[in-house]
Amino acid sequence: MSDASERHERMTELFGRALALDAPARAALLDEVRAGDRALADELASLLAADEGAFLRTGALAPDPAAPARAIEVPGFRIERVLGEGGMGIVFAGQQLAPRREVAIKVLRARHPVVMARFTAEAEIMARLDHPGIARVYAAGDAGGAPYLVMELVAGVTLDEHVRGERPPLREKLRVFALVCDAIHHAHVKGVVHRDLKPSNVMVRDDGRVAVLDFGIARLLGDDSQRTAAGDLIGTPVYMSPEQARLRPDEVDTRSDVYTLGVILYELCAGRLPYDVRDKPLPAIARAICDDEPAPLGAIDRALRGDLDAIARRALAKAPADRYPSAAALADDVRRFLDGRSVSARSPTWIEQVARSARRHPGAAAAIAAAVLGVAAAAITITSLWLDARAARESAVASRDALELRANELTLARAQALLARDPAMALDALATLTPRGVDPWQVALIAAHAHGLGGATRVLRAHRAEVRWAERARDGAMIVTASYDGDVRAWTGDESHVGWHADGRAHVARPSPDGALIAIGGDHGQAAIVDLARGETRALAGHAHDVERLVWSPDGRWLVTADDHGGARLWWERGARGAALEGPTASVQALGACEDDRCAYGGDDHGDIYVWSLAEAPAVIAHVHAGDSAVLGAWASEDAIAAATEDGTVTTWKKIGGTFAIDRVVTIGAPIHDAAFARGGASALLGRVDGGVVRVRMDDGHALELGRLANLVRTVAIAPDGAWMAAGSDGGEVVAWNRNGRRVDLRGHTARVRHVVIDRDGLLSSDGDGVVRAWDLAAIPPSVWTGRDAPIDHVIAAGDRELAIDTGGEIRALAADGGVRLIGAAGHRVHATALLAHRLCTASGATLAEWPIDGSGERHAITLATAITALAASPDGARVAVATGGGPITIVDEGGAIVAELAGDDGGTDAVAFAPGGALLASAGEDRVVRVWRVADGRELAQLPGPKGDTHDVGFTPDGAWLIAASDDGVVRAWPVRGEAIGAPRTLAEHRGAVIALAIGAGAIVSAGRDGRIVRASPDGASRDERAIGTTPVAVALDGDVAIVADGGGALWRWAPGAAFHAVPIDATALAVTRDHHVAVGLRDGEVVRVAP
Amino acid sequence: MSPGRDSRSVHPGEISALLAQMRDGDPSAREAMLPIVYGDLEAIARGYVRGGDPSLEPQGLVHELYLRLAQAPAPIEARDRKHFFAVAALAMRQILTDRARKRGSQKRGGDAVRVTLSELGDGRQLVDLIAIEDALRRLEELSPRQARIVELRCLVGLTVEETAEVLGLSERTVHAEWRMARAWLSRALAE
Repeated sequence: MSDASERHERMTELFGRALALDAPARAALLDEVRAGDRALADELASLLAADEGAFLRTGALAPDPAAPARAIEVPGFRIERVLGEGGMGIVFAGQQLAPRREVAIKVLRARHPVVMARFTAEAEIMARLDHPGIARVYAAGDAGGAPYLVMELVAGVTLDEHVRGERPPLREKLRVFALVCDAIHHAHVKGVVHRDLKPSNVMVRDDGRVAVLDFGIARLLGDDSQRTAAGDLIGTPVYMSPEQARLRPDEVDTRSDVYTLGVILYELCAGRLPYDVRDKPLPAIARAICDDEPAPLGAIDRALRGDLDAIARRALAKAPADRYPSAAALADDVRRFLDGRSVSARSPTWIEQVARSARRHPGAAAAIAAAVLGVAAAAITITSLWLDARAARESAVASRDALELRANELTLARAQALLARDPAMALDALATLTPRGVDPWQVALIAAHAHGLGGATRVLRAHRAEVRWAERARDGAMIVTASYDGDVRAWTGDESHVGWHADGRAHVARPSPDGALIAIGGDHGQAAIVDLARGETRALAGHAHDVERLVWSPDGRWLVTADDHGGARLWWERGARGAALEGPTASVQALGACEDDRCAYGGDDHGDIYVWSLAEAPAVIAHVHAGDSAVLGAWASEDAIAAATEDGTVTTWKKIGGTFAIDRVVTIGAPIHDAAFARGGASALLGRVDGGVVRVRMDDGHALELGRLANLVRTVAIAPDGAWMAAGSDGGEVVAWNRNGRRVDLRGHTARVRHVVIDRDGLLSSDGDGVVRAWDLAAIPPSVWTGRDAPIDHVIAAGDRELAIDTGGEIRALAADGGVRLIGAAGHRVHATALLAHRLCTASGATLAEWPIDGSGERHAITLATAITALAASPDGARVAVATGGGPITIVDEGGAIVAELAGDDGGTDAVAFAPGGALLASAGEDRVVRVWRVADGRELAQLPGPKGDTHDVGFTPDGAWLIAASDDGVVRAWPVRGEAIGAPRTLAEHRGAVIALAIGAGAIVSAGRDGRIVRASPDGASRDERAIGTTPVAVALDGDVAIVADGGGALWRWAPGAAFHAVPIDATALAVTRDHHVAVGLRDGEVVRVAP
Repeated sequence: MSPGRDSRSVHPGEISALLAQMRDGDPSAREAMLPIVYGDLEAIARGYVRGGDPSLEPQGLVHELYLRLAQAPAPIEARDRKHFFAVAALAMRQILTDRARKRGSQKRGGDAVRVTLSELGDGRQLVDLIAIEDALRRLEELSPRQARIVELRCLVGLTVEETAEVLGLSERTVHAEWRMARAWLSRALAE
């Protein structure tokens, strides 16, 4: 330990001792120290003085219980009069002596520790906030044991007084309200939730601005230290949100304030509270807040119908997720209303809310579903009525137009709401629209989303009860379904006919491999083979109990049937002949045929598995016992057996000598409900009762949890080629995983999923309501490579291969033939890249590294003094420009030699780009100009003013005629370039909020902004088009004129000029267009996929 | 365009994994995490400045980052909080000084980033960050522990209680050392 730090340690100790002493004892201590070490004593004295000078000290507000109650004096302030007084303290008006200004001084009188803690919290929280709409805090401290807070004295009246006294018109009230939202939003952004908003806490200043007061019970998000104890009801009852009223402090977040703002808005508009709570006890108020729907504003005053009603309704939604996501969004809608623009919360959102509520509360779903369907049906009826009416009557056009508009509006809203639940139904809804008043863009967006969500390609509805089995015939043209309504249906297109009817339930219907026959099993031993070509049905007699399973041998010669009491039979010659199969003593749930047509197998509920020879005199050729748990899935050949049992155990046996011996036992330690084996018995897929889905690899016994469903997994399936696995749950979930474990949620089923099966045409699922869905798995892009579960940061197209860099800095080359090669590991996250002729340059922090992209040779790396902010490759791929946070830009050639050094931007360079000829270089950063440099001699040719914020993207068009820059002020600017002369800039795009990504093409510049808008403009700004994607974009790329946009909501969009968006559902984090016009996409889960044009 | 500029938020799974490694005593995890947290804090900080509000409140930024992570599908576990805040404090300190130094090379004026360190000043005071950083570095040489306490209290906005938890010290110790560190810094800054 150094002398200095030893001395510091001693000082710390002395300082601590001195703090505990009163003034005389402190002086004595100082004298004592001074006697030994004068300098030490002086330093201690200066530290103690500094401590007293430190102001807002932690713990300084702790009360001194012994402090006598006396006249309050706050040093530096003159108290003039009492503004208000409450149980906990007094608020005075006063003067600050220097600088001289009027202040409000809040002095705490109550000494309860909870009150003290709140007061301290308020002081600390308010010190964080700095917004014209929030009263400013000037000082806080402790005046002789009385904690005080000095605030800005707001000249004005409270919002409720303002409304009562001034009786302002509605527009004025809304203007003020939006200001309150702004202030609250500021607090939210700073991590502060107010929790006690009410009109009396809002001051309307004399100049019309507002000031929100009283953050006394505000809470910092995520700050546990100030968490309210459960049941500690906080807030003013009538303005409480449902989550506050339910005493769920954990659930109280910024959206609680949004709710309360909704109450204030309602009160401002209607002149009364949303719920009748006068003279009611607190529990009744809480119940009303949690359960009652407020009377629509339109019912109170017809002038308030429509948008305003919708805004209030959305803000007052019971579930936080259904409210405006932020106070700013609420303010935005109110201002849109004031400006006469359309608001985001139009009344149809209500439908969406009901639909959402139905999803959350399946128990109450029946009534709500009826309501939703009622509205939807009405919309469709109205539409068709109108169509009739148009032909019949030419008068009263206006009212009919209104009807049609309204119907379309409802239908669009319904389609939007259906997206999350069932994309296929959303498409159905869109099909009922009429052209009038419908924004084609909105329709295209919903349709694209529905397709993009991997929606079911076909939805088959005809059965009246649970569909226990669905299977496609080999040619893919026909689907066969068996339902508990007794019907077996054959479907071609969306048409079906009943091919067979059981007395009771039909359990299974399986087409023969050649598709000519369908074998059927039903209740009470009913079984049959239907010959489709001949229209004949042959009954299979022999079973006495429910025939639940049957299987064809791959060559179609043999059929095995099994019932729920252990009966099993073998049939051949199209069912003309049959024989009993010996062995099973209980229900056979696992039934299969050996892949070589030589045997079949069945596992029963007693844990026995039998393998039978397929012959006219069938015999048991193997029998093994898997324990006393029911066999749910099995696979067998003549010399190997595998079985999965209900207790979560997978066992394999091998034939050694003449007998079968246990080869491997894998247990996943949890009960399962279904199991399936891959071809060759290579792996098993297990669906757990608790919703987990586990793949067990049989060669090494490795068990991997693929994912979790929220409900019991009733059915699992593996594709014949192993490319996909799927599971269906009692909650209506169907989830598919690809070989690499990438999960795709297939939405649509609303009842429990009874059966899933995957064949080469896709996935079929059937549910308890009798609905069968067909999904096209081929539409989901296959992955090129799956990584380490670290998101892909960069994808770079490099000729015939793509380079992918994950967040861990690992760089891989992915060749078109599927080969993947690790190029190297940067060790840290890579922040910038540049592709040279044969090399890739990466920057991580201050380290610049070069990697040969063919994977050969050495990596070179140098570490600079300051962090690298941007890289750019020269057009000939021989040099790279390196920009640093410090400013200078260095141009380095392939050998690592410094070619040129440019002065760079004073405020640090954030973006750099070469012009196509390589003679010019553009740079930009935080100092709000774009600079152009002559590379040859490093001379600065121009400083282009314009950007009102940092500029993170610069670039030239491929012809070199335009210099483009995108800035945090949301503006994309283009300067014409002729030789070394730069002309006046044009504006290509104006985003609200920063530009997140920019792509520069020959004829188009595409920018994506934080505002969720994508703008495509020609370089001269003459033509411009834009789209909204509704979420924050992540990346953009251009393939010729086609823009590719990855959004933050998990979709990838393709936007060709004059065409609709087309989306695929992938959660992209980086993208690049490949030489063959595919899009190589890096995903959040670490995969890279190629999406075909 | 500048290729590959980082504009995404951090992947929560990644952070969680690194936090778990740190918990298990892997010293390289902290190193691996620093650039990630740095990058994301920097992005958030940019958002603040861009929003027209030129003041940077370190606690707010760190809290926002923490919230984003904690509300993501793979939330940060409570026991990992201390590691997270320790790294975030370091990253924040680096960001603030980087920015301040960058600004320092420019003319001082209304455009400067204002940082309030409410624990040190009166909450509104404009603090010279470079001076703070220098003072903090000197304090670090004398007592690394006191420097850590200042980081966590001022930059992350942790309470004494939380600071004690993160550093594995008693609240009493943190309280005493914090007061000493603050007095020392106030004096150093006044010089």
